[in-house]
Amino acid sequence: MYLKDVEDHESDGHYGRMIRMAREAGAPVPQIWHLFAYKPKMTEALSRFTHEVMRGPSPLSAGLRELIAAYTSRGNECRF
Amino acid sequence: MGSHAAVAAELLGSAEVVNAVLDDVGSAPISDAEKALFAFVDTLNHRSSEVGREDIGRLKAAGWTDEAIYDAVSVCALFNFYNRWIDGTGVQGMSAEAYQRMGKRMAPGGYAPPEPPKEPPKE
Repeated sequence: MYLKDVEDHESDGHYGRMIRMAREAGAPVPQIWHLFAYKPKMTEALSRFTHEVMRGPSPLSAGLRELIAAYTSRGNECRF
Repeated sequence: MGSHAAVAAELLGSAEVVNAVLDDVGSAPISDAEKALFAFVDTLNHRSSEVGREDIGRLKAAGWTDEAIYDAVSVCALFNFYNRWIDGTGVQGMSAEAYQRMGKRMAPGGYAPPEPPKEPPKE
């Protein structure tokens, strides 16, 4: 990624621990974890919000919501 | 297939349906109501200022409730945030295999980090 300070940031939050565990296991670290690890106070709220939007009670099934997410990302030419 | 397509394939039980929707929603094997919903998401994603009451009317006529439309708008808006977050910071994509693994994990687990440990009870 472009932001070295963000990528190298050591964090005690959930994502900081996940990054350390992946590195210790020699597993690839999904780079989005660095975005979550950088400002845990901001991103813990984002994680909970995302979980509620994607998995909370809804007339739309979780599978359909994931498909809308993938369709939106495809429309924005974002491969994520 | 990115991570959310992989999760959708897990949850819907069909990578074929997911790929069909992403390639050409018009000919995908989904219901007309779902096609109307994806057409609306397309408008919202690319020409959001053009969304008007008639778009909502079409969705209501197709059987979608206000809550369903609210939730679809929320998903599209949230993933615009994620798309910009990723592209703007230069987050690199992963291999197809890594997305498959991620999809398998996120399908049942979702997105919330575990709750922080509770304070130990006081003596």
